[in-house]
Amino acid sequence: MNALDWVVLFGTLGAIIGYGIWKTRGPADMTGYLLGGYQDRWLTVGLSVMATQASAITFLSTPGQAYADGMRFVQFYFGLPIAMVILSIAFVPRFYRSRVLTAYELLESRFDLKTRQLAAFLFLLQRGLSAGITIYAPAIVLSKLLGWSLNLTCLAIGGLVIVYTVAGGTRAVSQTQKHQMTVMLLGMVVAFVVVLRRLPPDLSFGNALSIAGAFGKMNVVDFSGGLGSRYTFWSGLLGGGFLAMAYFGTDQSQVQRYLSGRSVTESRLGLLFNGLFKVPMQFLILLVGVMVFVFYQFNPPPLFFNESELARVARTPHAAELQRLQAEHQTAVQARRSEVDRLAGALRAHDAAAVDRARAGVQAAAARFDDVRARTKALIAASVPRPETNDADYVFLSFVLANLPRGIVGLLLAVILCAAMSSTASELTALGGCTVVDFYRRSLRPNESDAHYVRVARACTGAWGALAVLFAVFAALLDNLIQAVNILGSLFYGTILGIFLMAFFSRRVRGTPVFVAALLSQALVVVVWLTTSIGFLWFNVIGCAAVLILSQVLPL
Amino acid sequence: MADEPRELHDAPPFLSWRAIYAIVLGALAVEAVLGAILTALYS
Repeated sequence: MNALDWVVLFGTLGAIIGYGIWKTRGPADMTGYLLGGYQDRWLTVGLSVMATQASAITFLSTPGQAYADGMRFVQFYFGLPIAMVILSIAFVPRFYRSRVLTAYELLESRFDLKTRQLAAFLFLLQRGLSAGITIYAPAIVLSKLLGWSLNLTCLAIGGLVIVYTVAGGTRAVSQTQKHQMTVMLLGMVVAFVVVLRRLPPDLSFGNALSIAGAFGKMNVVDFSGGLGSRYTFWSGLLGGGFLAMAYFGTDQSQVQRYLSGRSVTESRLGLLFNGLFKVPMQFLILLVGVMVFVFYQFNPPPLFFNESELARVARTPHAAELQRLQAEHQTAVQARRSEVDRLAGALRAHDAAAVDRARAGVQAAAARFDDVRARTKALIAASVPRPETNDADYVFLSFVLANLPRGIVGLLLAVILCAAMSSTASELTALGGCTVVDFYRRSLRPNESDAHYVRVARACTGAWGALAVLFAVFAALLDNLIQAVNILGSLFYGTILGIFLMAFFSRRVRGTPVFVAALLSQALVVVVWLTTSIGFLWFNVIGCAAVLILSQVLPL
Repeated sequence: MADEPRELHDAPPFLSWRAIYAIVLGALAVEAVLGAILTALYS
């Protein structure tokens, strides 16, 4: 990081946050604070919805995932456009006509208070825990690669978000997200162009894809069946579709975003904008990761991208073994480079037989390279306490820091911090709003003034923010809890979606059967998670289907 | 409805809702086909 990078980083963040606070200054009522007073146009809604979903980990992990596992993760998003169409038709008009401030408020008018508060409680539990992870996950990567203090990074990200969300509410979030999303998209396009320019000049884009394909990275679509495989066309379409329906249709952090639209039309168009551009955006981010992978076929990659872990091993009695692995790694990199050069030559010559022979050579060299990496991970696991053996999250930022020009590094760090702040901001306003509307105003203090509720909403937003920062600061001590939190999200969404589908499409069933069915379905999903190896995307389908069936057959 | 609140206004400013839904779903179909072609060509 040099002076220009710092100027770009702080200039970008400062301008966006300053604009957001200035644009939303002045008093607000509850509708204004929680839903922005129905002022946003469809482009703002669409960018805000996309920015809420795009956390920093999207930009750190997704290229790393493509580097390690290829393009197939894009299938996870294939159900999203279908979900956006269904939500636009079935959910958005109902939310508007019910004049609700939170999605769960609607459940009381259709069923009863306990069903509303069950759904709201599941949201607070899941989103409250994940808000801390949204801050912690990028902070740990940034702190290790840049030498920043982990706690200060968590405090800086969380503190900035708390300031503008408490001050301006949903409208400040939407206004900042519009510009944050623009910076994110611009940053990824710049990263893609720069990585292409860093490839050998005589390597065409098509041949770069062929080299990636020889390593199995161009597995964009997989039509095979089977519930155990996490990313296939069918799991993405069905499981990903249900997850997207549940997330965008019932998670207050998203519902709040599109209910801020000026009208049903603006909200619908915002969601459909997301449906149109989400898959191409994820494709681009994954392709950046694949091109970084091709770059490292012509340039030596580090043995392990999280080099702080290697430094820890070097301070143990296993240091000599690490040195041997480093030497083996250099040999494996050179051998792989020779095979890749041979493949590139065969591709340039359009010699199909030579290409086939070279691909076999590349795959054998890749296997030797992967073997050294696997033994390095085993060494890390055996040498240090609390080892981190997955370095996928470090691949992209390591590449950026080592290979991108001045100023662009600052821009891409701004992308990551914008993403961290935009998703956290939506989470905090939704958590604060839900706490006040679904619990405080409904059950504790129902007859206070609007100004009182706005004050309490600000306080709750700030309190959830402080809790998220505290969780992030102490998350390093809670490895297993972090894993559990990541799984928690996919455990609850199916049940909540089932409740909403019953509310919207079943006129006959009353609140108690739905409430009991939701509890039983949640228990069923947890049992399936604990006792089977079914991919987590299917939990959304199972939980939702169980609520729909049980609520109709229970004799209550 | 003349007395309908502004936020309940529900008509697209361009094309029709059916055409917009067709564009979103059609784009998904094109992306899936392109993905299958890329997989077949480069894997």
